[in-house]
Amino acid sequence: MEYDVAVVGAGHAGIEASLAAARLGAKTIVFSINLDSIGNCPCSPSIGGTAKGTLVREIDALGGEMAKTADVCFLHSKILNASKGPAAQSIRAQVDKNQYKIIMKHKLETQKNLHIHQCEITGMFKFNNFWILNTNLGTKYKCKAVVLATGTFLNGKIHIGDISNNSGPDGVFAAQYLTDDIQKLKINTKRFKTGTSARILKSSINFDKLEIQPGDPVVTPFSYMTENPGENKLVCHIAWTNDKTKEIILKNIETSPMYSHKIHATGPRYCPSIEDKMVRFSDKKRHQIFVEPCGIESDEIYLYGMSSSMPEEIQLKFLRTIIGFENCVITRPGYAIEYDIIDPTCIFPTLEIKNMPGLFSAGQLNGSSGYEEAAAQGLVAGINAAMHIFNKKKLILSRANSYIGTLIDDITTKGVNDPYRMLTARSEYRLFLRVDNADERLTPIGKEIGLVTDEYFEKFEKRIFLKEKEKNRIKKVFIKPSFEVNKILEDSKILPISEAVNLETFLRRPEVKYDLIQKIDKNSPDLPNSITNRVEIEIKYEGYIKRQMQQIKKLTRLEKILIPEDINYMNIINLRLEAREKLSKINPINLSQAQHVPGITPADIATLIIWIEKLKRQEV
Amino acid sequence: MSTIAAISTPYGIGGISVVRVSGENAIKITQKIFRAHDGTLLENMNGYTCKLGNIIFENNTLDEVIVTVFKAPRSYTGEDITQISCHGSMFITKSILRALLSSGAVMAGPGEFTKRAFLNKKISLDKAESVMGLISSNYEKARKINYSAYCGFLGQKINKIKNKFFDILSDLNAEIDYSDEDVPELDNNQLILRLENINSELNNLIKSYSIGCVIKNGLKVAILGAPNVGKSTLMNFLSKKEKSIVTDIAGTTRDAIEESIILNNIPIVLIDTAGIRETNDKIEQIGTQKSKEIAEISDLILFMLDASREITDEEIKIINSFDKNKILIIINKSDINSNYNLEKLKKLNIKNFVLISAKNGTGIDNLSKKIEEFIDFGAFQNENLIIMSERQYNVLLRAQKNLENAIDKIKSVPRDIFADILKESAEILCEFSGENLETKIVDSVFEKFCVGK
Repeated sequence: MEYDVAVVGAGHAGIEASLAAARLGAKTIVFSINLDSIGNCPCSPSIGGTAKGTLVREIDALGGEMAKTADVCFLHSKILNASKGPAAQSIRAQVDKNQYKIIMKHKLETQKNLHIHQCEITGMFKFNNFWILNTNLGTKYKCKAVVLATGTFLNGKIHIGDISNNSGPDGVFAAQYLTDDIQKLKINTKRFKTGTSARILKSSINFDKLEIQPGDPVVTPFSYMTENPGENKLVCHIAWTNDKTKEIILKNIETSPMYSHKIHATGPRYCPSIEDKMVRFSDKKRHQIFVEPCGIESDEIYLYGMSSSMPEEIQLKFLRTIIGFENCVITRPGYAIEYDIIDPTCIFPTLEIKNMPGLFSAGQLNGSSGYEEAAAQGLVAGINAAMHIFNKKKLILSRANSYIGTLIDDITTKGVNDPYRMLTARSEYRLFLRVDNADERLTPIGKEIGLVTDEYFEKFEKRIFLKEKEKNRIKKVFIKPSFEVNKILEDSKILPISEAVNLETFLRRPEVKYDLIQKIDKNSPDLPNSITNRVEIEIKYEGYIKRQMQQIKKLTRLEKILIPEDINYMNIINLRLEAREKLSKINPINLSQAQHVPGITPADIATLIIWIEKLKRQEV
Repeated sequence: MSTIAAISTPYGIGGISVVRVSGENAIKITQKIFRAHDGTLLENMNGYTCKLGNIIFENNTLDEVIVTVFKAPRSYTGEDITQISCHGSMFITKSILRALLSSGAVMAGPGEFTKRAFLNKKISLDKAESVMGLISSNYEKARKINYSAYCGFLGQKINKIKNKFFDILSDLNAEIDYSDEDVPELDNNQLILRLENINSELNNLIKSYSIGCVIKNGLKVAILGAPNVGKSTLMNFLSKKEKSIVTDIAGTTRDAIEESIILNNIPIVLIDTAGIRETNDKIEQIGTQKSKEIAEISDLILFMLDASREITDEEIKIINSFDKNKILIIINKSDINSNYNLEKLKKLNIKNFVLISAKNGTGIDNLSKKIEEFIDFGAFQNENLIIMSERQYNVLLRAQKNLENAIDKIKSVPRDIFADILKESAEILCEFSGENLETKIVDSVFEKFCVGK
């Protein structure tokens, strides 16, 4: 059977990849070992988080699907870091896990140009300009491009105590053959590990003893298209570990496969298991547990922060030490899972594997961690698979315009030593890469690619128009130190004004929020929060944002200097030997990427600029 | 990078001279003009070993030399290096250099060997600067401080400060990035304490620059006083040369005379000035005016009185016109009157004075002690941590300014902005060792080097 694009895996990366490719007009097929696990959230039933929520917004701004689906089936939503500044803020939502899967599966089923198919891909090889995929049932697929999005399924091996078996997450079979064919293509692979926590039964928890964590009174949706997301459906809770929990875990630490050295793969530094936390942060009195419902029609409760791979009876024992969990019943134990990844330095920032035209890879297979990181890569890989088919210029996102670009640049340039999680600190430009302005940064790009619909784009343009109009308006409106004005200020516990001041200057005062302007200035237009919020951020932090924009200009200059594909670094006599070796290994596409290769100095870049200039002049 | 060569020893005649070659082809190029007596090829030698042999160029044996081989990365520049030690004739040395240049080496630019050591990450920028300082050290204290910078004490101190910045930054980032975990919120007052601590460390380094300047450029000391009190005699005694014109006709020194001396391990630029007095002589008036100007820009004024007579009202007036903190009274001619009446001086509230005889040298030890006290080396107990380079000084000043801005803003800006301001300080500090320097700045540092180092 013949397709333009085949996507292997239908997790968060595979979904975005297959939808993007199909929507861009490629005849696409997506394979999953079990179609009922499309869009599964095998770990926390939540989407977003610091930096991750911004990734979800960016996916939306480019025309992806994750945000829209999360908006439909969220249970509980919250703006994180509301007081810590515009770059720190993001959205996190609990989602109905089953709903999420059903909606995503249906979107794939009904998407034009897209077929879904249940099977295991057991083999892959190149034949002329095609990639041939073999299924476990002996069927062959001939495709022009392939996106590998296998998540944790390649040679997946689950560990609970000293029990281990070959399996993917949630009881789905692992893919046990594909790694061999990847290795035959001389693509480097590694072994990573991740884990998840136990689920317990809702009715076995004494909620009266737990802290309530309500969602936001007004829910902020992920998607720019969601106008009325509705209210939170339920509350979450917080529980705490205590000395007894710690005692049991430390006493039984040798039963954890990580500590008995049964697992040699590298686990995530940023999302450690509870046994790791007890050992590494032994001076900490207690650890927080978020008690998260898995869905409306499910009584399973996820325990965020309690990832463990200790034997089932130990897991039950330590969980029952926790106040509120005294009688808890485990529905599924936590586990650790080992899986194969591709060394992402073998991948271009287009997510096409080097020297493998038409072969792309995305998601956890590339060494990342998290649904959002996976979806973000899936979207880029799907877009570029389509670009490959239509012989169009492939999309490379920049560190300067997105967390997606930062994520891809980081993993493909520096490689990964442990599962890569998106953090705001990974970006040099986080004051610009905010959750509020993802559309301004990316929607024009999404439109040009063809994934952003006309309706979406019109709304986007209107939003920006209104924002700019309001920014201009408040420059011209002055407030005077009248009795009424200062009374309003006094009521809001803000220092009164002594002379007339325009609203823009007034808004720059650290304690002034935009809603105060609406109270003082009766002529303020009625604008949605999403717009006034941006007006406030862009004015209040203008100086700081400008500084980053200047740095971005420098980066963009380097991005524009492309490195010829056939460059032979060993011939560049003026370059240090170490630099030549490192650049040859990564083979960066432009000087911005070259600059981020570990061990490369500004002087090396200066030398490269001269070399490339010389080449250009010789060609003329 | 190309292979460079230069003469590394000073131009002139000496026992030996050294020609240095560095680069990928250093060994190959040197081999072209060298024949070891035992026939060994340079490429077969281990690093840090040497061979005796002849330099042969265009069928002409130039000299018998010793070639030392260093192999990358274990060398000064991090590249392959050969050092040719030849007989110290300028003609021989230049001929060997010419032979190397015609065999494929290129002439090294100023400081290029050290620049390569920096580019190849063998040394940091501050260390490179200390190499320059070491070469030009001409007395013990300067050598000691430059050597400790060369050993990296200063660099380590800066790294420690930088790490404190990074610790705070990572705490801030953890607070932001793990908000959905239970990372405790940072307390502003605690943060301020940590930042103030960094600031005081920066401040100590910044303050040390005044001493660094003295060590590098010498303390500017002006000798001032009425005509014929013996200023030039003191100058001559200290510089041990008859430079000032000494006569007993008042007003002989009309222009200022400068002399660099090392007095008890303190570098001093001594300035002899024209005697100050009310006069109608046009030329002397100009001299008097100039003397006052020099006194203004000097670090220390030695105001000289004559022990053989009472202090005059005019002298009192002049003393009072200067900053009391930078004036040291010298009572000269103790050989004529050793029982000078100090009452009048005490009334002027002057406690800092020395009785000397410039003519026979008594009291000079006391004088140098007083000058040492004035510089106050004691305030900088750690001689390892003295800033001598203007570039380093400016880096520290900028980092401090930025840090103070951060402390100032901590309560009025949100965490992410605060972290951003703080990050800039850390970035500025990185310039100290040259970690993220633009090539231009790097070049400007190396241009100050002499060729061959």
